[in-house]
Amino acid sequence: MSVSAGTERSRKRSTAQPMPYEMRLFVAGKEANSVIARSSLERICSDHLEGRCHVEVIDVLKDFQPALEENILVTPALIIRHGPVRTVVFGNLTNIDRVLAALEIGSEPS
Amino acid sequence: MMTARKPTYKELESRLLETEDLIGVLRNHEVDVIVGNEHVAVVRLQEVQEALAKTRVGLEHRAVERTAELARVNRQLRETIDHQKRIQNQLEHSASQLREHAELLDLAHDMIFVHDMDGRIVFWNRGAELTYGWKREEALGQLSHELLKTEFVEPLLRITARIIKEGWWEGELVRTTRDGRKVTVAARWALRRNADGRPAAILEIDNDITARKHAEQEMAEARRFAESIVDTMQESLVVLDPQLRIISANRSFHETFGTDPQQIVGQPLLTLGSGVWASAELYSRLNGVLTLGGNFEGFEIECNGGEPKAFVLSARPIRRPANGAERILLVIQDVTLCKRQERVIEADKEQLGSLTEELMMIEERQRRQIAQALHDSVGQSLAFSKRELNLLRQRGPEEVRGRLQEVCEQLDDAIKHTRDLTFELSPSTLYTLGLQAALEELADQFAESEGFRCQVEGPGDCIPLDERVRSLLYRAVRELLVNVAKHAEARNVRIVLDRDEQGFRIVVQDDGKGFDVSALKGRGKGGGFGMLSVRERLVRVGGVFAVESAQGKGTKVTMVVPIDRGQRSDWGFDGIAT
Repeated sequence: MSVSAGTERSRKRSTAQPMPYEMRLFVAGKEANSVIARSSLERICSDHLEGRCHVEVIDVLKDFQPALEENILVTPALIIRHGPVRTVVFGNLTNIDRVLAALEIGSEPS
Repeated sequence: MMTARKPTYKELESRLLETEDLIGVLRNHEVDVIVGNEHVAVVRLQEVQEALAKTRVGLEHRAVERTAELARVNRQLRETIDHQKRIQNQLEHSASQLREHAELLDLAHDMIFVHDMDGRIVFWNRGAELTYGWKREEALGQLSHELLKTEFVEPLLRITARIIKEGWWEGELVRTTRDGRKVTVAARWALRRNADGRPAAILEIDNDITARKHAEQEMAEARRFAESIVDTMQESLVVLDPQLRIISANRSFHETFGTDPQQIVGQPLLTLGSGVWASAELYSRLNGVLTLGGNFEGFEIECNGGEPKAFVLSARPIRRPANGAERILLVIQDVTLCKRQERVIEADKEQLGSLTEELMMIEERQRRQIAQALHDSVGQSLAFSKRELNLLRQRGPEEVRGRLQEVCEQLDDAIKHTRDLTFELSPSTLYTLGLQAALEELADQFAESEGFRCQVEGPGDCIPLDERVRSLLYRAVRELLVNVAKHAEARNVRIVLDRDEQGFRIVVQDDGKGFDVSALKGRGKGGGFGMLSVRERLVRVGGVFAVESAQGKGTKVTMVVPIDRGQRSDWGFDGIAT
């Protein structure tokens, strides 16, 4: 997984080829659900998408323009782009199954 | 111009899923911020919860307040309900009382009726039926003042204006009953107003005072009659209040004192006549009439201001138990003329007494002259004639001696009668030897002629009395002895002469049958030198004449003459004031 993040648009992008999963996580600074969402997404990426994802974390408290552009009205919100499919998952991403469903991965026995 | 692309089913499904997901996270409080067009709103669950808690506390507080308010409102509501219940009860009680009052109005003897502002009768009680004669159903709807032919003491318009302004009116009216009888009533009117304050009806209560009016008229007539009598009285009458201020006075009073009936009321009595009435004794007596309850009569007062006047005052209290008022009736009798006449009569009486005394003195002198003449001429002639006839009888022939003897005897009788007559006319002893000797001689004469013992006791020496008094006392004792001889049937008579510091005293006492002394007062003054005449003459010289007697206990008459009066040699008729 590669994660990007910036002050205005903090991003952590892995170089080389496009990843199968391009994800943009919209958070609100250190707010509780945003912190949980970061942590959950990191865990999902490390558990299920190792090396296959690119995550961009956007803090709307610093710049909410990207959110408006993506039509994101609440945070935390995760936009998953997998090929032509764009899926948005709202919330703190603690429901792993729902995220995996959006990733079209399905839960795997741990 | 761009045309919006229609979303595909997949896109719609994806949005639906997003929306459901969004609703889910919102419901699970997994949202941190809401992004708007111009700002980002942070949504913190804790703050929301705290706000909610605060709101809940606030709500609970408000709920408590609201509950308390509701309780208060509830309490007020209950109080309002209770109040309304009480009002309802009061209304029911009032309605009950009204019914009772309406029944009571029928029990009242007064005539009570109500008419509306047009004058039409809407209520007519039993008293009105009985007195005025119309039944309730006949009177209702009638114009009251037409029905009763009311005679007003003032215009009805004025009465109506007053009752609307003040709410009531009272006065006397004359009504005519159904049978044509006039009834005088004391009417009391009261105005009843609507809830909006407009006059609605008039309650009239009539009290029949016809009998009282008749009684008042009779009393007024009686008062006028009494006043006319009082005004015709010659005595001045004045009624005073307890402070001695004039309340009323009769015509004689105003004529006597020249006062004005209109201005005298309230004036203090004692200020009348420039203060001549300001007598301390009169003030004390008048005050005593009410405070001590004592009448007084015959109080004389003389006013010397201007024309001298004399009045006799009598007073008595007038108490009126009805109102407790106390007044004084003062009767003033003008006795100026009487006093003047009394003085004239007194002077005339004095003059008459003096004339009588003079006449009696003249009579006494004439008696003495006649007695002297009888003694000196007739008595001497008779004695000379007797002596000569005795010589002729002794020397003359035998046939004439008998006749001469008879003539001599007749001459003796004549001489004796002449002597008695002389003594009776004027005893010479009285003027030569004094009163006691003359009385002893008189006593001997009565003892001899009347047959009772008559004893004279006295000092013996010649008491130097005035000739008039001496003669008066001698005649008085003689009169008393004549009375004893005529009426007393006495056996013993004592004549005691005495003198002390007070005067010269003669007591004539008998042991006869006595008499009722009070009978003396009823006897006339006739009879010449009677007892009353003796008393009057003694009183004139300052003496005393006293009679003590009772049936069967003899009679004692005491005569006292003051020494200084009795001894005054110059005391004569001219010396008595007239």
